[in-house]
Amino acid sequence: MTTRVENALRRMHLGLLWGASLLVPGSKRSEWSREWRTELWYVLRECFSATSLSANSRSVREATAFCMGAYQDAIWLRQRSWQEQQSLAGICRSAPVCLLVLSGICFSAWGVVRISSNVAAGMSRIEVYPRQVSENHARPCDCAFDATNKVRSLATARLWFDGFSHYQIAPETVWGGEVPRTEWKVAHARSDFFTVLHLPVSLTGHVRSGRDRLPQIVLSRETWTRQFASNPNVAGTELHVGSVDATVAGVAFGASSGLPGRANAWLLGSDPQIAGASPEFLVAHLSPAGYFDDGRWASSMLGILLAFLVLPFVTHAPLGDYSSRSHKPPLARRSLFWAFLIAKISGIVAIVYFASVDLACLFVQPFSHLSGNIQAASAVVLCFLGANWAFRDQQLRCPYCLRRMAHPVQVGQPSRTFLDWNGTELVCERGHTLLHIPEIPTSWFHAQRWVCLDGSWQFLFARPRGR
Amino acid sequence: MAKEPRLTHITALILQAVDAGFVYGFSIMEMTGLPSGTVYPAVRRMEEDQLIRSRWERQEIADRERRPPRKYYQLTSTGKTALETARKRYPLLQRLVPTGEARS
Repeated sequence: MTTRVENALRRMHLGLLWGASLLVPGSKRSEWSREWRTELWYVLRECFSATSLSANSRSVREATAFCMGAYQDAIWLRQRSWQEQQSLAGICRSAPVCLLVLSGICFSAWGVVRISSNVAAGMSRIEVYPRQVSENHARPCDCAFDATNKVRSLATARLWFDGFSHYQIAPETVWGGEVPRTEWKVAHARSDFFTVLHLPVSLTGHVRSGRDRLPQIVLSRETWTRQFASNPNVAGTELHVGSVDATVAGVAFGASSGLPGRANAWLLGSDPQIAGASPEFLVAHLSPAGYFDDGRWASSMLGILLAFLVLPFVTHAPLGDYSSRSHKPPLARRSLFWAFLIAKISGIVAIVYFASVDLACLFVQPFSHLSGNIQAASAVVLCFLGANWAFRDQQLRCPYCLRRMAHPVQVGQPSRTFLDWNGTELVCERGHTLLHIPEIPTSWFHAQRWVCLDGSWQFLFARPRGR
Repeated sequence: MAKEPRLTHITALILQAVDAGFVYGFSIMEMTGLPSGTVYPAVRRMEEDQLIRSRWERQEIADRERRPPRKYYQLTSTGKTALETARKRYPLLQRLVPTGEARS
């Protein structure tokens, strides 16, 4: 046989193996292919070692039959993989796994809430409300919270923030020490301005304290760099600010630079007086926890309550009665059955609460008046879907072991019902119960019915060893 | 814990072949006369049941002999016990695949 024919045959057989390898589960494919290709190499060596034409044709048939065997091997592996997946599905049917999954979803939703909370708080650490002192100095609002919105009053806003303060910008002539006479924009603020807003003040040194101490002035970073050449020992320097003498208390870095008005310094200790020509700013510190502990839970809880009130009218999920010939499960089992339902519903309520806050926070601005509506609406929808699932899932849980019923079979006698089938039967994988669900409710069979199987059935459900 | 081995004729025959020194798939096929579609799934099942274990030949050895490395099978202790049981159950087994007939 010529080398050309040999190569053609080799390629054909490799092609057959490649086709079979597609049936093999991905995790085992490379090992499987390696073994079969190696074996094929030896098979073909045996084939091509024959010399006569008849011997060759027989050998080629044998090599082809060898490769066709690879399909049986691949199919066996694929079936084995399906069996493993089915046993995994069996694990997923158990009640602890169900509760574990619900807990996982709940934890994830809570995690998103916390992240959203931090993001919202980080983005809006300082909320600024330009206060309209006069028509001439009205400034456009550049923040999420619209101070002119009549819907949300300041009283409502107080729930979100843990600190309020305000300051007024006024031009002042400043001199003293190394600073020549310069015109600064000085913000007049209360002495607790930086404390209330959780703003850090750096380079604080030995500032004289006591009754005779001077008012303190905090420099902006730019002023400190430009006027004091970034002197680290600037604290304690005395300055004349207009008609007031003040001591430099430190330098405001970081978030302070985001405060509006572009003040060169904040003069603390002087209660700002509203002046007709000076813009005044109201500033608040957003509490990370406050955003979610501010009564927003009421929107979600209202939605959840509404969903539970509506549920009985739009869905019918009877949890089944027991056949008169059948034994009822003992009280402890029935209590566990109901406890599992309550646990699922509790998990769903928690998920709905967190998820509705997530939706309200992620899809609209945190302080938009729409957020409360979205939160309530999403709570209604999510709770309705979740509760519906909980009841439907409970319908298919074995009252003994709480596992999902399996192996649904359509049963019935068409001649007696005018329909193809009059119901579906499911069986507990552990052999505890049989569940009959009627196709249509009838006067003699209006709801699903449990049949508890006695011990004589157990041999049918004995699990093979090692599985 | 290993499952209880299923001692079918094929299982017993393959165990005997491996014990006799036919330690890779193609040689098992040749010795037992079973088709590849029977031998390989059976070998995998036996490996899963821990009757046999497999190992790849070292690449250097195969390179030296200018051939691809083979996947070798060998009996485990469970496999040896199962083979003893099989020999009692199928007395002709040893005559079908006598020990020591394996080619290199």
